[in-house]
Amino acid sequence: MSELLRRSRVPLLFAGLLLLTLVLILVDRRRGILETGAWPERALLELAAPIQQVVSWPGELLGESWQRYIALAEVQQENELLRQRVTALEEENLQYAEALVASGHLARIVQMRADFEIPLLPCEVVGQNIKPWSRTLTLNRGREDRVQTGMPVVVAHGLVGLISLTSQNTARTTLLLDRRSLVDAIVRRSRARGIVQGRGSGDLEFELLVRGDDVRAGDELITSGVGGVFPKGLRIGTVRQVNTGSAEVRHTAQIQPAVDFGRLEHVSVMLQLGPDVAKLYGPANGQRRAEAAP
Amino acid sequence: MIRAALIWFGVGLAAAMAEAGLADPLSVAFSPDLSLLAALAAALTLAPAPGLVLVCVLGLCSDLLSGALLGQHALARIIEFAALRAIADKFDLRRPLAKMALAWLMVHADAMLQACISWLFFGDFALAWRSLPGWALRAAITALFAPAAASMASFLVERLSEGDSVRKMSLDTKRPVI
Repeated sequence: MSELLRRSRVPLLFAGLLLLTLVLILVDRRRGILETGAWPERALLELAAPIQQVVSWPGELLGESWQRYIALAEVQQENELLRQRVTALEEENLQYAEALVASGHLARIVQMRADFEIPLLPCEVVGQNIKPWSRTLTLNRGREDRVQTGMPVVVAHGLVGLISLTSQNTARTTLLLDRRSLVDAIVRRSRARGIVQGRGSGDLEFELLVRGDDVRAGDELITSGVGGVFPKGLRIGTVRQVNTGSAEVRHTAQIQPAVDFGRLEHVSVMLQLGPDVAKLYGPANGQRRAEAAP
Repeated sequence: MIRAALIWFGVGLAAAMAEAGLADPLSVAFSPDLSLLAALAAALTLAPAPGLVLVCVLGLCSDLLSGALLGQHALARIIEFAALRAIADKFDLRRPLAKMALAWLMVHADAMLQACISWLFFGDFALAWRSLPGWALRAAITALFAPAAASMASFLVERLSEGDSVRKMSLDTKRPVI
């Protein structure tokens, strides 16, 4: 009997570990991306950030030197294009301002700006995990800098994702592209509402709440503010293609994200929790969690 | 054996952390899959039972670091470990080219496995056709590092076993003669 056990030790161990990992996956599948990680997860994140910073430093230095000193030809062309675009936009902006003043909307816009005045914390991206099955970034700011789970992460072009785990000096951002990411969004032109979901690839999927709602290729999507996680009006992306097959039960569209997720070096964390997130993960709740943690 | 497994754990963990750091300035396609290389080297040098436990723990650490489903990398690593042991039993993997080919295949197998696991638990297949050239490039770059990783693993194992034998000898010399 003992001989049999000794011989089948490795197959038994193999089967046991397979079962254990399957159970872990099933349990973790039920956990939302915003649920605070256990202490080993936070400790690993804290430990990994300095190592990742050291490892990424030579590459960053090389890339920076390339961009600053060698790839100047492209910069000159880009500069010229940007100058033209700025001039065009300034002109357009003037026209819009005139129109808005005339129609009495300026006061509303001032109010909207006040709503959007959320303190932003600039952070450096020190590590990234861009794979089809999970898309996250590691940032060099953590709880010490008032970063909390559930805070939106943005760049000038639009929404990047959401802080999903924090340790003392680092934080993990789950990108919009992650398959567990869901954002309530509206089409800027027609105000059609739906849910934007990560597909694990470079694209996003927009599922309209009402089948047949007005959405076209080229339409811009922004956050709706519904759900209380993201503030209203953050750019998400542009509709690339509308899936209008009559056989399809869902009315969906493919979205080209506004942000180039492959080239993120610096991002900003919005240091404000949405009302619903604050209820779930706010300071009072966080304190209770911290007290419970070893 | 425990000392060897602990050292391997440290090496594997550092590899998983460095991998994410490298992917930041380079691009995922240009950064080698260091955690997979560590698992590969462990499979070729450690005994089956401690090796299995080690790759499982390293897989869990990768999950915690990357924010993937807890157990996703671990499950893939266990299956890869078993496959690697089976391949190592059948083929002669001493030549660098054989190790490189194996690493190249394993990166693809890992991507397929992870995509299958996420298909099982999320409902759709995560790998797109257009991402395959990127994976092939990543596999090729990982393969370049495979012989060095295997040599480092053999060196570590030799040094550790040397240390063990020296300790045993010193114990033997102090034994009283009856």
